[in-house]
Amino acid sequence: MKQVHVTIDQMGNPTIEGKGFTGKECDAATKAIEDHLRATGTAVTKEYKPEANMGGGGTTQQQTARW
Amino acid sequence: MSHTTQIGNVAIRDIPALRSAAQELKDKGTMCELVEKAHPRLWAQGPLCDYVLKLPQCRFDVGFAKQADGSYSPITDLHGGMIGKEIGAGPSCPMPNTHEGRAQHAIGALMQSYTKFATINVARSKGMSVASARVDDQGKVQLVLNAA
Repeated sequence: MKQVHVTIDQMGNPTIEGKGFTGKECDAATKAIEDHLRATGTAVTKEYKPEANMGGGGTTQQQTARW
Repeated sequence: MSHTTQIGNVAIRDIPALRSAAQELKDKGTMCELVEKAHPRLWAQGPLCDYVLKLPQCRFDVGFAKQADGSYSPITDLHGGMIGKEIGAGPSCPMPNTHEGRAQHAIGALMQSYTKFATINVARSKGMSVASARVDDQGKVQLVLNAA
């Protein structure tokens, strides 16, 4: 199943992770949330896990941001 | 002596999410109410703010002051750590070293809830659905969204 997991720490800082995506699908799925973060003036950094470059498997991407 | 702080590293744009966060705090036992067009209680007279989170059991409130870019920035008073006891991050959350980090820590519970609802709102607007939302044993919100 394709899902976006969002972990929000006790200070409200989110980490966004796509699971079950292939290739660039993950970018597309998390883009809406990322765009919203950027619209708030929030700095968004991306952190790609090694499996993000694996074709066909579960793609994982993390974005850490301050809201 | 004033401990009034405007928390410039926090920008709030989703007022419905802020309302939901205030309601969630209330549901969890914090006496609070989000009101419009009021002066927050600070060490000195607070400025007129579009939104104020009133905290009757605390000496101070949290105001949300509109910025030039249209977002709202929290303004509160950190004197005595009173705000943190009401709506701060839990004791298991490390205290940051910077002034702004400590200020964000002091309104951590509010910001965590706000971020959750703001994320849900934007996700739903993009056709996603909420699969689950829970708090883990580290006090972090774990939000799972099903992709559209």
